[in-house]
Amino acid sequence: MSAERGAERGFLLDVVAPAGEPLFFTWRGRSYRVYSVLSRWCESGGWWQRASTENSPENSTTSESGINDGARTSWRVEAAPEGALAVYDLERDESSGLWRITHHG
Amino acid sequence: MRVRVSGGLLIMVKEESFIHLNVVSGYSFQYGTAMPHQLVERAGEFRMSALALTDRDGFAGGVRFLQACAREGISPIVGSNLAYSAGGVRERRKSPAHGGVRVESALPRVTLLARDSWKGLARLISTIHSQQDRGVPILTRNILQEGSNFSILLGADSNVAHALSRRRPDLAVEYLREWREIAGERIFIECVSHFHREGIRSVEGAARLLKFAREHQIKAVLTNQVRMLNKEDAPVADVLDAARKLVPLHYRHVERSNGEAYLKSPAEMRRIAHEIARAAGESGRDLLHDTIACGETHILNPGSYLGGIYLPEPEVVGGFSHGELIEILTQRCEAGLSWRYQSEALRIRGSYRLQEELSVIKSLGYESYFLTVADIATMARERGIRVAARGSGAGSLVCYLLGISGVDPIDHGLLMERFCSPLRRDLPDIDIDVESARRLEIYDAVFARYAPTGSWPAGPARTAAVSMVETYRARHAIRDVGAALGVPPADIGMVAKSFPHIRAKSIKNALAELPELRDGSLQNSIGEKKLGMWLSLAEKLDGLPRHLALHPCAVVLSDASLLDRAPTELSAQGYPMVAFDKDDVEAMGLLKLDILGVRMQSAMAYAIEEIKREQKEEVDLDSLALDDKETFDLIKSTKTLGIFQVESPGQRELVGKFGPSSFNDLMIDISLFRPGPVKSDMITPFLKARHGWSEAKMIHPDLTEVLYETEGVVVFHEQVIRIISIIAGVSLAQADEYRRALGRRDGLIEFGEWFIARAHERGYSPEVVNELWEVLCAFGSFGFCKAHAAAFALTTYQSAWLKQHYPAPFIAGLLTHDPGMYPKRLILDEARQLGVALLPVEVNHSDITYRVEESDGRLALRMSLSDIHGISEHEAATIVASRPFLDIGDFMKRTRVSQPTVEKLVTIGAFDSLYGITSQSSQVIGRKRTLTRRDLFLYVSDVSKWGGSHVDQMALDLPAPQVVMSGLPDITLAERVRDELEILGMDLSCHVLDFYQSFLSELGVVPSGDLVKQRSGALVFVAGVKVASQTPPIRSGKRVVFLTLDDGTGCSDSTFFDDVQENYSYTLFHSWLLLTQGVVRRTGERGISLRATGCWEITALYQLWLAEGIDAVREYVSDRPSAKPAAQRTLIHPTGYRQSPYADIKPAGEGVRKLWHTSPGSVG
Repeated sequence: MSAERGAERGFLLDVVAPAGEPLFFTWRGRSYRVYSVLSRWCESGGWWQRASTENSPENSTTSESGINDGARTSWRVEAAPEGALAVYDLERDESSGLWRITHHG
Repeated sequence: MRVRVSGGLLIMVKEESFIHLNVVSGYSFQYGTAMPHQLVERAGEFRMSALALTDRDGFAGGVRFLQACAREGISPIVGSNLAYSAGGVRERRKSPAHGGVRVESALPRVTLLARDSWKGLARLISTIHSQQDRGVPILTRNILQEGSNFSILLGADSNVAHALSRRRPDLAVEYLREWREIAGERIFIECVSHFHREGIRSVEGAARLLKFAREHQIKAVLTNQVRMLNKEDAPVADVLDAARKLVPLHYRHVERSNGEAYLKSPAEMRRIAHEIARAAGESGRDLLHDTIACGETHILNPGSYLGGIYLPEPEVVGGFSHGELIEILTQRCEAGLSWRYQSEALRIRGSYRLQEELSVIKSLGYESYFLTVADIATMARERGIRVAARGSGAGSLVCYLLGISGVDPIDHGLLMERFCSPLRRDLPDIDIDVESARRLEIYDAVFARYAPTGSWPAGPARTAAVSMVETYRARHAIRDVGAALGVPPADIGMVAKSFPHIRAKSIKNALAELPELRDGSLQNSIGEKKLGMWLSLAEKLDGLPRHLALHPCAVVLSDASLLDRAPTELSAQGYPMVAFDKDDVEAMGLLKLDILGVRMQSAMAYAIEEIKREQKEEVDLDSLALDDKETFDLIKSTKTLGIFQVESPGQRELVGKFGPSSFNDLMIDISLFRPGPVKSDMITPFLKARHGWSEAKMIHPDLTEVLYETEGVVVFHEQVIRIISIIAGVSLAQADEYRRALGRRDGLIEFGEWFIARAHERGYSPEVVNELWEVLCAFGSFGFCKAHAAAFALTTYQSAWLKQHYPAPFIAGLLTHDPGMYPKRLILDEARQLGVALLPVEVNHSDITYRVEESDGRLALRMSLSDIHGISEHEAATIVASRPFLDIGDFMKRTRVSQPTVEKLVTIGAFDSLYGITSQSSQVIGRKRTLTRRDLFLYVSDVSKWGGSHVDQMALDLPAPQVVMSGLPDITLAERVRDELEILGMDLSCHVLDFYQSFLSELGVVPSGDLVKQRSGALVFVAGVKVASQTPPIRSGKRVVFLTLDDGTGCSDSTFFDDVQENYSYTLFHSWLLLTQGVVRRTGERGISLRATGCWEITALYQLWLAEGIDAVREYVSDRPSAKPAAQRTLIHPTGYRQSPYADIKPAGEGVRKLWHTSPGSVG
């Protein structure tokens, strides 16, 4: 996953999620603790569109093991470094394992 | 097998477990991505105690599901997912925008679970299919109220959920009230969380449904609406969505937004349950408990639905009780004895065998089976339809005496045990061959008798057609994926047609291995990446069912409970059809009868009719003596084109070497020409011994009687049975059980140990035992059933007899019913060589079929109207009914035949005789010009300009066009032949190759008829029109291509081995006029073939010759590019037989008309 693509859809994060569910994450140099998971959803698909436009081999739609369906899981969490709680959407790309923030408020 | 635990332990297991109640398989056509057995096996890995299969719109995978469940020790739950309409069934409108097919209905769907009632489900499916004209079946309130043995899951696609997600709880309550009226307490709310971001399949959506259930005191269950085995199958699901809806892939058309609809583990499902429950403010325990409880109350007891035997009841076959049937059968067979055998001695011999067979039939309780099949054979015969048995059934004297088969099993050493024995559990298999053109008449008769009108879908039907599951193979998969990806249709066609008819999962192997695909041209025109993704997706569709089709010949016969056992629907042809295929039907214990339409039977019946009509002679083929010398001389001459089973190039070579001279020889010949004998090289020792070049080896004196007829070589199943019986000292029935074991790897080893020990015990020497064991191993499962060979040989003999004694009527039959592998133009060539004159199409003489006519004192063949390209049946019939015609105007006025067809008729000379046009007209006779076809052609187009063919309706102010002499030269002979090929698919005036004669003789091409004079090892050229290209299985396991060319003097056969294919296979598969160079190989007195070293397109060489002369051509063909053949895989069968994966596969390319034969493959 290239850096530019990460920037398009949010900021890359370090996330601590031993059982899949995020517990802590670091964003803009600060550590956040997840207090509760508000909701979770999964999305994928659209591989046929990337297939027709892609040109670089690194984020190839197809690989030896098959088609990369672009699966990602999102967690809407309440989290805070200290003080006030806020809502954050964390998204995990299922094929690369990279996390990013897609929404924060 | 796992044992289900009971008592206190069960609770614990329940806590750990989960039951999926909503699961669809690939039998939800073009929707589910996994096969039932895969789903069951996965459930087994998860240690689930039960699993449901609830396919959409039907239950075609039911039997396979039950079988898989039995194997895995899982309790089956059955049901179906159906579209629901509260009102009556509305007429489904066909929308032209979608091609009018399979428009998705926007109706809500519910899942039905059967409460231990296979019967109820089968009947329900039949009923809803009967309400709808071959569309998506719709469940209605009326239907549901009739049958009460179902529970209903109201899930995410139900009207209740639809209302809730539209925030209309008032409507949801209203719908729920309706469902309660219909189904009372048997309704469940079905929660599904696919982790959608929003909507009814999100955690919140599922929780909303759960809360709704709680508010209204309805049990709720959790399912995962499974349509995939793994998450990774999601792209396949997308492609299926697109293919089903006939649209390119787009978010709008894809039914998923993630890959969660797979068969999840109990742990994953429990987590989901807790998540939903938490969102609804409760714990997940109740939801899980109710789901498992619901599953357990719907478990089906499968024992009563698989196995057992259900034959028509005694009263249907003429008796009152089962006990009476054996008497009826005995009486009929005894009557048969006096019908079949003229002498007392033969009758006595027969009655011994009859007693034995009858006691076996009685002990198995198969009386009704034999009487039913006999009844059907009689129905055919009463209608004057030719009938022949095929397969092992011909081994039974009872079949012969009842008139089911036409060969005497005692005379020909055929065994009942091969067909039916007390040791075998499966029902014996009788197939009958009937005239292809009248096959449906027999279907109609069978249905009229066993499932009279009105008995479907509610009544006591005893018969239905069997279905056949069409699955994705390479070409269809490529087409559907290509369309889903939005590839332009022309590119889709190009890629799909480049592949042979292989399995979808072999696409990439073929791309790497086959010379004609390896050149990279596909990658260049499509783009490597795109093609790669396209093809790897296509491979994933491998074997998935596409739809149910009518099996081409099988019907099922049973007692009156048929509709309780199998779901049925109406086939496109209008016959009720069970949704199960032939293996399923057999597993259910239903009697399957194959009624095969055989074109040769139609061709022979037609010939007999022509003989009666034109020559006023009656021919009874079924009572011919089987020893006519002239008939065998014809076969030996290798001029076997058109003769049943022995016309293929390989068979021509074999009969040339073998020279069969008796009926028994014919059976041997047919049996030798099979993969088994080819593989174990039985042919060479047999021929050597037959011709006296080596001594026949009988292995042991005890076997002389068995092996004598085949010169010591084991050819027939019957011989294997006898050898085992004699050497091991067991009954024939037991010996047949051992013979069956030979075909299975595990059986082979087990049987081998037993056989060797047993033979040793009985005093046979180790040498003899070893040799016998080798022979039996080599025989594997591939040998041939002599009874089957006998049934075939009878038709071979009958067709050869007709060709020898009545060539013109026989050829008329061949051309009318087209039974063989060769194009009609070759049959015409054969007629010329037999001295049968060919008469062109003439509007006043030609019929819909090919007729025999007397011309100049001998019999000639009149071309038919129906082979004119584009003529409709109706047009042909109108022409025949309106004859005779005075002129073209009269013809056009009275027949209203379309202008293109009239032009074609003019072009091929169908009006010549009305205007005195002869083939010499093109030359100027003296200085006087005559009318030509060109003048007639001009006239037809004038008439059309003047007002189409509606001559009589025209205003009278313009003078009607007249046929006038234009003085233009007539078309040339070359144009004439080109037109004939285009319009009739046959070169009638002369052979196509005649036009290249001067070039070919300068090159020194050898005419096929003269090949036999060439010495072995000579390097020669042959030329001709491609008649056939075949890729049969051969011994080395490599792909070999056989090419047959015809040049008007006969046929030449060339063999292309894989080193030559590399450079020439494209030319070989895609050209029509070919020049081949090869080394002459003599294989027998009349047997000759070429080992090809190259082949070229003639027209290209001809142009080169015209432009640059013969030396340029010589140089061109001597330039031999060298390329290493790609490594090809070899398939190795359990018996050690090696085979190319492309053997027996229809090769690439396409023929617009049948101008040559592209092989459906086999050597036979």
